[in-house]
Amino acid sequence: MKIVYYVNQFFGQIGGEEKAGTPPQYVDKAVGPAGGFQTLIKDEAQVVGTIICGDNYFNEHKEVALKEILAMVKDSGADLFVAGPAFNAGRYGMACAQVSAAVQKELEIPALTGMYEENPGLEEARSEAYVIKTGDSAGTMRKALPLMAALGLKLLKKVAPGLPSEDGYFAQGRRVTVFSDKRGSVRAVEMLLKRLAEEPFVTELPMPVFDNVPPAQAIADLSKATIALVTSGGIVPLGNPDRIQSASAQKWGKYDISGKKALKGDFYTIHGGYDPVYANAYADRVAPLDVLYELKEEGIIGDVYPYFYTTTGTGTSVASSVAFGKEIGKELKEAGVSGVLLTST
Amino acid sequence: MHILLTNNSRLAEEAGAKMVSGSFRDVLLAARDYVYVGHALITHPLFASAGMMFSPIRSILISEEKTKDSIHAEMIANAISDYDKMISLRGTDEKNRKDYERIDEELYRVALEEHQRFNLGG
Amino acid sequence: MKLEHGHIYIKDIVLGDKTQVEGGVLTVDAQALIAHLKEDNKVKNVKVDLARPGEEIRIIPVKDVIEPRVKVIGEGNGFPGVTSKIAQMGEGKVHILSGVAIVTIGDIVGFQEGVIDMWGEGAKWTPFSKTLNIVVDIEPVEGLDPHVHERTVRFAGLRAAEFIGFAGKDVEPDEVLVYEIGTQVEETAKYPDLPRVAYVEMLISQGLLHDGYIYGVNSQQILPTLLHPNEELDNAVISGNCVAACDKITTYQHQNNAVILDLYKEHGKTINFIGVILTPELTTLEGKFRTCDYTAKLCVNLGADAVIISEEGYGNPDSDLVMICKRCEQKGIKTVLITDECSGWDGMSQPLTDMAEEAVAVISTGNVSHVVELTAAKKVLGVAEAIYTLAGGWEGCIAEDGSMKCELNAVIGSTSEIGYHNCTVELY
Repeated sequence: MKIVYYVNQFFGQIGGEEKAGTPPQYVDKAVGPAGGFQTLIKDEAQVVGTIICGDNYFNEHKEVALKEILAMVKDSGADLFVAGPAFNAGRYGMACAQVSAAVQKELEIPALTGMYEENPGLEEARSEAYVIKTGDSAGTMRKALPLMAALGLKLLKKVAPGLPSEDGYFAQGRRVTVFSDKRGSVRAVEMLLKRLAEEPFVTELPMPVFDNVPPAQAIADLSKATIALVTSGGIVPLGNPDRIQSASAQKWGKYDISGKKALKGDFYTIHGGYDPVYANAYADRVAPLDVLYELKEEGIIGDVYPYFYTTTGTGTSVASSVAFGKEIGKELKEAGVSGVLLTST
Repeated sequence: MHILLTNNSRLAEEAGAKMVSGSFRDVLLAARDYVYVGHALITHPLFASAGMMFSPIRSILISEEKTKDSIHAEMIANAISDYDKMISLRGTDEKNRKDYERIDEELYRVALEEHQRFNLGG
Repeated sequence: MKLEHGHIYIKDIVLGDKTQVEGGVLTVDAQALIAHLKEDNKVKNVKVDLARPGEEIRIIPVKDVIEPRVKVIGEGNGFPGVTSKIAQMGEGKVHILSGVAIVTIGDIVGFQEGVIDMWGEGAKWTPFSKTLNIVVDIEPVEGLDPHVHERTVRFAGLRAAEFIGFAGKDVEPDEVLVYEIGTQVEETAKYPDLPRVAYVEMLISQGLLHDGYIYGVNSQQILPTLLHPNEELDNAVISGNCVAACDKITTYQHQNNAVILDLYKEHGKTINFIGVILTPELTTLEGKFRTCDYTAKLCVNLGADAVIISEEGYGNPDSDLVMICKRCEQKGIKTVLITDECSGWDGMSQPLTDMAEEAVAVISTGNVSHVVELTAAKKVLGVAEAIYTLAGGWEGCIAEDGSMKCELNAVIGSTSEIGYHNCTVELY
């Protein structure tokens, strides 16, 4: 059985940050962690090749890079695809995650990677591929690889993986009905007794995490307030100068709109999640600078903040969204903005 | 008074009836459109069992008066996504349409009676 | 109250000339049973069949499952308020033909589901593949209004259970289990330091085929009400629900309510079990708010430290479950919820229609959309065509060899939300 491995420029031993722009290349042997992986699985399968790709190249040319990498995986005739582990490296994590998910989904080859729980790549991969839990630095490679090898062998042999806690991977979110050795009422009474004794217990149906943000105080006098315009609707200047991604955004943009009465004509959408026709014809339909400007003229609001902030919401991970929000919020707060008009699509 | 949104032909003559031409889902969407402009749900938009979700027939009571309580918008939005999940692979059971109409009517009458026990039920 | 359950363990059932128990074998006189049920002039035809664990028999569509019993000491034989004169239940002694179940079939509407497979893969998913089943197929006279039709079939099942149960009247039980809990004053004096635990049992209460009855009162008509646990263990609560096969509470499951039995085991040891609150699941939002407020208020006034709350059904009752939980937790009462879930065929969807952060302790009794494969039956008791409704109209659900795919939805008791069965959900 054959395994093909994916690593970045650093783990692929071609260089550091200066080589991060290297396009994907296929080497027909086990390089870096692939060598360790091969040692662990002994002769049960063969790492037939290692794909090495620079992190910047992947993240800046995602569509092209994915296409090239998928072709390499397909040509190798692999029975299993392994990427990383990426630990807490963000760009490497995104690459491992997106390649693993695509291999699993499009080629239907089992895909396995590994990363730290805060890696933004995790949410991109976990529902498709298997992601082993690792520490936050490469110092934990020695712990991560044996877990990856063990689960990799199961996937190769088509043995159903055990529970996430048993096999050390992040739950994919699949709720599977199984038989317990105790009937439901006994489990309920036991859980109740634990609650009463204030002992730890594990719910069988975890509620989603409710991330409630307390609303800010109301603006006392709108006529003196400076309002900023922010959107996740993918509205950018024509030509998308900062190349903000049309889905799974990695960044946000900031554009000077001082003196403008509307976005119409100078802005359009690059958002990949809705029909762009009406937004392209009149971008203020998504980010209404026109109306905001009118409110300023009428004296209802004091002023419009001269910079407009934008990103794409579709497919963007919660971790990235939180990070963007904090960064944008910090700038606006420091600039003394009193309120934000935030639109989504 | 109330508005009855329904695709059940047996209820066409009922007080407040507004017939929805289309599916169970279309009735949910009609209710959503009313709720989004402020009407309140009188009855919960979903049935009480997974089995009944395969019904092609649905009747929902909503208020004529408007409310500012956001629970109604949340409930109808959740109901639509939940309905889509239930029905996505199995589809509705058209073969037993007549029986579903009959039971939907029975459940509507109980709901109406329950509603009218409250003073605001008129 | 003190109630004794005298269990007569039945090893086998056979048909014969006289309904009696001998050496652990129950003989059923089918003709006499049929004649008894036909005393109701709305019953046109009755068929009686037996289905034992392991036999390649499929029973469909099941209306109710009932345990045959007889009251030997104390008032109230049968189902008071329904098949017999009203009586205060919960005291005295009952003889139970343990291991036997009356299974009623009869299609009141064409879309009724509810399958019991006595063998193979299907048997794993229902608790009623392990009972010796006396299957009673009831055909009422033509032209009945659906309400009367439903009631006729419901009554026939209860009357069959009474008729068969009578065979245990003079038989010495193999085991006697005693259920005794005194008044609140007495129990609190006995166990002043034990935490006080109530059980909130929710009942679908929404109209035809969606009803439950307490001493014959339709639960639609009540405010949440307090019962001594013995009353439910003594035929006070019956099912009129027959469209939620996987998670409805059959009459058998009321008679043997698993939460009540398991709380009883802890009574006087780790908890003081202070009672059962039956709560209707209504259709209107105002009705839901009222019953949920009222239920939480009863828990507070009873001085409950903790409650187990079980749902019946899926969909709109999820809202009641979550609201009762929120109200109790906000009053400082610890809750454990029991519910099933609908997380789609792949298990990737949000499991409940309503959620709350207060619901920190939840028992899941399985995904109603979980797909299981049932092999072809040698014998079908009931309406063979109901299989097609059961299979639910997706492409390729019935294979050439007669095996078919169906959702747990359709399997009686598979995801019992009173925790009567063993299904649960693991996150993968």
